Amino acid sequence: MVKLSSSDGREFVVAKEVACQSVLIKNMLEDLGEDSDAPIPLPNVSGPVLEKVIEYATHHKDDAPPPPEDDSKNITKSSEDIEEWDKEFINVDQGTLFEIILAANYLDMKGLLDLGCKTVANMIKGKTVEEIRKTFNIVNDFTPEEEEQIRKENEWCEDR
Amino acid sequence: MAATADMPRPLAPTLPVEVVVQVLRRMDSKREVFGAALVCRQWARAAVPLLWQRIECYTDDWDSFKGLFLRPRRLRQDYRRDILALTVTASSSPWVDGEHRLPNVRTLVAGCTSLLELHITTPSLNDDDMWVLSTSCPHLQAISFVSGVSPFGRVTDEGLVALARNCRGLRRVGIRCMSAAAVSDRGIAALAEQARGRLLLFGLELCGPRTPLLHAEAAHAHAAVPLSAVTPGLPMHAQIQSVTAIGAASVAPVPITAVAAAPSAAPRFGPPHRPHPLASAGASSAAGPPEFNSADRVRRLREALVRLISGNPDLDTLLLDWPDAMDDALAAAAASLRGLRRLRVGNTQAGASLARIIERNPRLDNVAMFEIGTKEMTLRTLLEPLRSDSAAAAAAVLPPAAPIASVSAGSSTPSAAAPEAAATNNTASSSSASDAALAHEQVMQLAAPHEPLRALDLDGIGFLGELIATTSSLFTNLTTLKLSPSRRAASIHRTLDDAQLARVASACPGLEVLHVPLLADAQLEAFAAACPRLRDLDVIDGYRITDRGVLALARSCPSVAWLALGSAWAVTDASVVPLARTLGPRLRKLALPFAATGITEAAVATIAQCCPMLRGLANVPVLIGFPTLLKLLPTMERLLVVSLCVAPPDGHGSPAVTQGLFLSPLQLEQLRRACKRLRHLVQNA
Repeated sequence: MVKLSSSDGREFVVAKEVACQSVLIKNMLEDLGEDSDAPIPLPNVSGPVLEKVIEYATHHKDDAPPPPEDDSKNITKSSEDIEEWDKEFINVDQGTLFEIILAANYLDMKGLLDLGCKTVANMIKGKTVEEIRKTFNIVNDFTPEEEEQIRKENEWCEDR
Repeated sequence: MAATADMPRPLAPTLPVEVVVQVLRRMDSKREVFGAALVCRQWARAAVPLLWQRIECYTDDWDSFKGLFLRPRRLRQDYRRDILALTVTASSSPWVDGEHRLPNVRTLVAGCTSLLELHITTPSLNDDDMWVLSTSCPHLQAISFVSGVSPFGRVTDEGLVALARNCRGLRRVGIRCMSAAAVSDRGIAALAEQARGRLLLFGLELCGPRTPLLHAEAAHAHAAVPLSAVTPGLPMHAQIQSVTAIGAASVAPVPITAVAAAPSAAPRFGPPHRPHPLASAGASSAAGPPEFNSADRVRRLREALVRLISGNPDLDTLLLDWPDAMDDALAAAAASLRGLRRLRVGNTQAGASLARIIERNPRLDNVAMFEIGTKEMTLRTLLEPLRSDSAAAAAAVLPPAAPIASVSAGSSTPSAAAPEAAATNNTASSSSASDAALAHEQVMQLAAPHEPLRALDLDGIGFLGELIATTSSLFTNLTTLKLSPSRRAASIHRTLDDAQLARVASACPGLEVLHVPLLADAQLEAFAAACPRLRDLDVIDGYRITDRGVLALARSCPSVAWLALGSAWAVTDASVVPLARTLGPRLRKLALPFAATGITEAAVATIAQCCPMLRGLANVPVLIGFPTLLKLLPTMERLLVVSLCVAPPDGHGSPAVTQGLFLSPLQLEQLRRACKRLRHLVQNA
């Protein structure tokens, strides 16, 4: 068993195989040695988010390891095909969703990061720029000239 | 923090750029990524490099591409540095329109300092360009190009030497030449020496007038083998090895040539505007002028090729089609290659070597052969080791560590213990994922004598009939089947036996890509009924196909995205309208039958209305009139390529001309301007 400690000081005890879904924790455990009893501090993850993350890791503990990431792949990853359980799991408010993604990124959990990103991707699809800003509360920090320049210079490769 | 959701303007945590990149990679198209780039600065930082990472454009696009970079300093940033892979596809064959010049290609490419892959399917680089390119893009891993005959588009030994010396990470080199005189032993030897042990793909092919058309798309497919550093969205039209690439559809390029020309009846039309004596000799097995054919020169080329092939035992793709030295090159391949996945050969009589290559490369799943003489053996014997049931049969007979194991172990790190090691790796998740994958691959390689063949592309007058029989009796796992009468013959209307074709259809229910001369409805119906996954269908000539066959297709094959209806002149609105309605949302390329008068405004209007994804539309009858064309074509927003069809079917006199049933250059220009994305508009007569 492994002890994890969230940013707000809550401690979680989880099976090693569950904890090791996080590459970060796995590496830490290897560095600390098997027998260390001290909780692993996760200062970037709050208690409620860590709870969600553990829920995910527990459900997926028997999954096959993900295929090696091919970063060079362009925008061809599909955002379809989310499993039913995952869909239910990730059905949370946007703040929580973003925090889960940030936690997955920090903890280096490919499957969870993928699920989070797919979910955000699906929220973007089919929306206009203005709708995207509204959905994610993003302030348009472009000057009008800047925005026009980006539009003009990148329009060319939109369909290539 | 999650509780803040109730506040009036919740301050959602922002995602860092690298996470936004991850999100945007899961978009379906660049159009969506482009939208994201306009959201805010943070998102622009994530989206812009993604937009430029892979550029696939056509020679018709070149001016706009070039124009953008005339003054790179005025740009917000120099996007060329973001380009990892650049593919420029010829909009039409150099034999038809002359060679496309790509002005400023040198300065443009020189700015692409991160470039890993470059594919140009038109002769537009010369030796000087190669020097500049090879010094500016030292990371280059894959290149394919065509060496032409004009000074601006001709790469010779000099260029190859530059490439070999300066690009030390080069792993994939595909050379196609319009003249065999361009490349000799010196260039090949430089590659053999400098890239020794690294190459995964090597191609040396002499291309005749039709081969660039046929193979334009295959240039991309070179890189589609997983080992490539940059895996492109697999072109839909490529000789598909992987069935998992379906999601890539919307970013896949349209091999423009495939649609710009009218199907079969037309690409073979007309003599080349600019005859290339050497090139036209090239398509046949005859070689160039005597000085290029001297025994000494041939001997040296032979040695260089043999050195190159035996020095690169990891080659997974070998493309050879050259007038000289083929026999020795293939013998070398048979002796040293064990991991080939893809083989494309032409112009050889070395049946025995081919047979050995096939036998000894268990992962071979994509085979294309053109004009090969197999006098000492039948095609059947040659292909026998690839037969679908051989894998299962041999696996049952052979123990896991078959003798072949020690042979194929030659290159990397395998050992007799590999299978066990891999087995333990699979259960203990301790080893890294990539190790496991590697180990798994080794197991596959050692234990399975032959993977089932998935793609077969054959060409030759003599053996079409034999081919059909062979195919149906040997292969049941094909996803791609292309059989053509011959690239040399203008058009051989060989009638294929309905029953034989029906056997092929029922033997290969998983077929997705089918390019076979289907001449009659019964044949088309047989495939439609047996192969529900058909995605890309070219009936080649298909002149006897009627509405009946087309309707059967529309009913049974919902996945069809590419369709070329050949010269099925009898097809009418009665089938095209329902076809457009049923297949509409998926259709990306549609070549209507050449000169079918039964296709009218109704069909074109339905296509415009129901096929939003259509990129290429061929043989739109001009008969429907310029105003109608001007009304309908611009509503198809994604159209890149359109060909108009002028001739009435029976060519009674020349009423088309006298009645003004062809478009004037002015009208063509007007159409071009009205269609926002249109890059290529031609009129076929």
